[in-house]
Amino acid sequence: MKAKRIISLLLALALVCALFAGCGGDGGKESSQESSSETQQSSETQQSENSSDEGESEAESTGKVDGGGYEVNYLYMIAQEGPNQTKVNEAINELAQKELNMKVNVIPMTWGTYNSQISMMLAAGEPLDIFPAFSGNFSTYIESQYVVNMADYLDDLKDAKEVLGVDFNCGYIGDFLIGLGQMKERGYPTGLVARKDIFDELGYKVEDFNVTVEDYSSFEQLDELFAKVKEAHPDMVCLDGTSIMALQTIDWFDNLGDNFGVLENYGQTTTITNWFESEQYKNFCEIGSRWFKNGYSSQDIAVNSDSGEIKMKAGNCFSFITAIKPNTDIEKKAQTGYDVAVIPVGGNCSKSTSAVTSAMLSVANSAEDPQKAVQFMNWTYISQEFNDLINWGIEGEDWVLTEDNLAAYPDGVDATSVSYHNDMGYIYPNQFAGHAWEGNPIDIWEQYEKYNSEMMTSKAYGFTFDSTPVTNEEAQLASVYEQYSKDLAFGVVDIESKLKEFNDALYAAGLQTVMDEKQKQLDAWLDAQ
Amino acid sequence: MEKKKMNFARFKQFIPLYIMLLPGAVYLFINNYIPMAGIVVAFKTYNVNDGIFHSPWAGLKNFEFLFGTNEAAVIIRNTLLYNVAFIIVNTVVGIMLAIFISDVMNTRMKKLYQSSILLPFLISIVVVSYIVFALLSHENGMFNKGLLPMLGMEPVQWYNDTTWWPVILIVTNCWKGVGYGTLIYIAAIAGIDQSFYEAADLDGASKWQQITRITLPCLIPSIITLLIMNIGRIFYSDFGLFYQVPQNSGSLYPVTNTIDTYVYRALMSTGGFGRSSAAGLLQSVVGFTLVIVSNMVVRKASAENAIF
Amino acid sequence: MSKGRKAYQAVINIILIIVSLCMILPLVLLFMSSITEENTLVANGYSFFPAQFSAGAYEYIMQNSATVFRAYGITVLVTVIGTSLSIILASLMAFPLSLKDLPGRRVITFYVFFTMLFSGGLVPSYIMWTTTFGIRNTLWAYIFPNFLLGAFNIILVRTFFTTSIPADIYEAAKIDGAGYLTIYWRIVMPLGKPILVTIGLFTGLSYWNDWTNGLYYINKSNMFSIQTLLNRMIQDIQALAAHSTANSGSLMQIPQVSIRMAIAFVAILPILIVYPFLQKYFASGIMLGAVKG
Repeated sequence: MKAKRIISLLLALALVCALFAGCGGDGGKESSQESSSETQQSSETQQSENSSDEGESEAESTGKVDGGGYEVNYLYMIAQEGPNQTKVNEAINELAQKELNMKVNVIPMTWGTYNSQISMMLAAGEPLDIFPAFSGNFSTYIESQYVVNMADYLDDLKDAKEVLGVDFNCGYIGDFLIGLGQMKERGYPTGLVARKDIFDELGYKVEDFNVTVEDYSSFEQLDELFAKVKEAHPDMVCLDGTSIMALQTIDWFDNLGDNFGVLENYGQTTTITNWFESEQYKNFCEIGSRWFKNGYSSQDIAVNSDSGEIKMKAGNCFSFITAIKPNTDIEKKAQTGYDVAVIPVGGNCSKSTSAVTSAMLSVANSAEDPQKAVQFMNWTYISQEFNDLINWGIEGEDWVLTEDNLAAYPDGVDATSVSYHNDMGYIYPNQFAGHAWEGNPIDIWEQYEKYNSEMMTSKAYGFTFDSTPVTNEEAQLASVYEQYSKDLAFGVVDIESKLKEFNDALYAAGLQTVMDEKQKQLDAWLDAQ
Repeated sequence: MEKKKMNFARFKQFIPLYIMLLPGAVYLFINNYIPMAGIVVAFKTYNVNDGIFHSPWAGLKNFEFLFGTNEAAVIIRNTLLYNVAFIIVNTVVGIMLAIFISDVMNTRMKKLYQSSILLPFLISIVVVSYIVFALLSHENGMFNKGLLPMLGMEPVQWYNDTTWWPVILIVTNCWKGVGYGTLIYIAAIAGIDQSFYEAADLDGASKWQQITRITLPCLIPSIITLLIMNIGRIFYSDFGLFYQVPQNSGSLYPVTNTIDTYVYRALMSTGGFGRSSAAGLLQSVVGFTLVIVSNMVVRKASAENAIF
Repeated sequence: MSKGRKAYQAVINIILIIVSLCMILPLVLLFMSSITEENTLVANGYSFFPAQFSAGAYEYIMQNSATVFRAYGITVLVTVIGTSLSIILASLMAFPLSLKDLPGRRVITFYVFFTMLFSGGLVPSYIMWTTTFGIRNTLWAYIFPNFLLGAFNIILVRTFFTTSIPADIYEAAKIDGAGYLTIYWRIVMPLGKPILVTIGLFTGLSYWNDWTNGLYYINKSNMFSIQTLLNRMIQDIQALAAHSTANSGSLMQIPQVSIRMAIAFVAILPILIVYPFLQKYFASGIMLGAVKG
């Protein structure tokens, strides 16, 4: 017993000594130097492989920059950490050295890590050049000077500007260019994703449905569908998941960054109004309430946090409501394991700033040389190899090119055994420059571009609200919204009385102030156009 | 002259004690006191270029979001009342269990009880929220599908009905946290001089008399210590208990919204180093004031039981 | 044993058995859910008697078995080092503070207690620990911030020392010529065993259960502790599901609901195994306290 205690004391002493010794050496610096020197001497096999495929090598044609050996700290999102991460880091480094003469300190982060660490990394001013920023944080980031105004480096962003086209301007908050959006869909119409087997069994066709907000009685077509499903499969939950019409706040109007004061009617107006007082909102809530009362939606739907995809996969959920896009059926089949029918709900959809700015790639204030960082970012928008690397990993090991010019798992590799695989093109600079995954139509990117260009455009497209003057109101409104939105949308409470309570609470929390400020900024922006 | 020398000699004898205090004091200084400088951020508009100390002053602006709402009164009421209820229930149940467990003769059972009361302590609150959901779910819950029909009662829309939540939260909190206090009281009971009980037995005192005359008085210092320390946390709330366990259900906010959940919901999207510091500072100041007052009261009543 | 005593024993045993069941059953539910087939779980909810079993959740966790075992190793190391240091530091501080004639006792106690009331918040301590002490991605990141020494523990120990160790023992020792260090080592530590074991248990559990330090200070997977790893898994799965636009089917492989339960179970399993052994010390600590008088 005594010996044990003495040992533990000695152990403690040794630890204290080790601690003081440890403080001297700066661990972080050492490791980053190590990784960059490693990459310098790594072999060229990867390159020869990559250069053999015939993707548009635009990078060659554009004005070449010389990074002068600058080290970019590049933070990007990954789905999960795979064994091939180190190889990918090396490959990125090698590629950047070849094309830009820059070193890259790759900082891959999963969503969980990102969410818990990014705000502190920024507040502490840790070494960081490029990182993804999310729209709710923009005003804080600007106020706290966490990000660089990229408008000062427009000359270095020519390629990215060309790729993004008019969407480039969405990153402006006043004169401050906070970041660049990604290449992806620009609008999120709402749809009902339903099990195709049951749908077919009941003799329905997607074309039979014409559910539109022009006429709210058209939603009864869905009531009828649910009633038939319920009759044929009494154990089936007709509607589950985490969303419903009144929660799809990026569809029916231009939400101008948050939902407090919006441009109704798909942004085809310039007068800011409170959507929660509109007939539309009330109608949506009443439909939700009808579905809940008739037992079509799950009795737990207002507190459920599992996505519709998970519910459908489990087998007793018929449908869920979500944002749809050109290849929704392929995506949902992959996620749920069922063939699905996608019924558009509501009809139209418009292109609004929020779709572009929900996540932006920004340059952090702690970047040693922001210009070099911007140059690097510019390059990421045009390099096919880079976009494929971060999304799909090492070609030949983690993915191969099919005859259709799509990416696919190599023989003997699948979703569980792959060493690197993200499939998160929506958060990477330009997935359109890279390859799409097998199963998609060959012309998927053209479809996206067509889809985006055909969409109605909000009158405030390109305008981003600067919420700095009303942050306190915004904070309170966010809390009120949390309290009422789900209960009303899913109709688990009495709509008439709760709706009034909700709006009273919003005004008490300063909704009018926010709306006035928005209108003022929007008017100024419209004048400047 | 003489007296001074005496003092120094007296002081010298305590030097080893001060040296013993030193490592802990240094750690507390580093871990707790240095970061406290960050409190100034509550009064500033923080920017990373100027750092914590040179950022511009913002007056009380960061505090506005806490009081601007009609909710403020409800939130503060909930936080305070729940904490008072938690303190009372956990203390009473904790002492009761500690006395029972200490009295169990069968050592094997004693061990079993001691281990089992600590089990909930090991389960993270998120998982606790799933367990509660397993009981209360409207669709599949054990209460609505099993227990209530068996008793011939109507199913309850648990997550839309505020009636039961004060009870549910107090029970859940007690279930999860009571083991902690119980173990401390068991240790304190173990420290009671056994001869008191032997003497009482000889005098023919009943078990109840032994508890009220010996055990409880001996526990008072521990009870007061725990009490004062809990009072210091009275403006804080276990975020998971009030956010995860009610599944963040909007209809339940009137009885589940506390300072921590409000701050979380308000700052979830906008963030802000200054505003979160402001909320933290407010919680600290209230706790601090109450602790000073309660310590003073205790000191008046019996000096040796005061914490400082 | 008298009749009254027997009745009393029966009553408290019945009460305690009921209480114990309340404490244990949810854990059983947790375990049953973790081995329930994923789709059954989503469709039918949690149940003690699931219709269909599956080890899928555990298989998913064990895909990274090397990482999982490494993480267990790190957690064990952190828990052992942290708890030993913590007990030593807390008792070293509590002993002088329990002596009524120590000059400045009240001030120092207040110095200790004050740390419980005010905190500078997360960001300032993060800045300090990372920039001044450089603990990011080291073992120290788990040990130093927050958990090493809490005012709560110091004061609990101090209260125990003052109330349960009679002052005349010190006087007697002093007359025998013992210095304070000897008294601390020979008298206070052995007599203080019940409370030291108790706070050791609490500190050990909080080190074992802690995922916050890992969350903030660690981003290299080879430094993940078990809680950090498991917490990261849950968060990543949730975030991926929320942002799901994936169309290559990788997400479909993950049992998203049962895995939470499996993860919770994996995290506490070692404690369940080790606890009976720990309890020997724990119980003997209490016995010792009881025999002392």
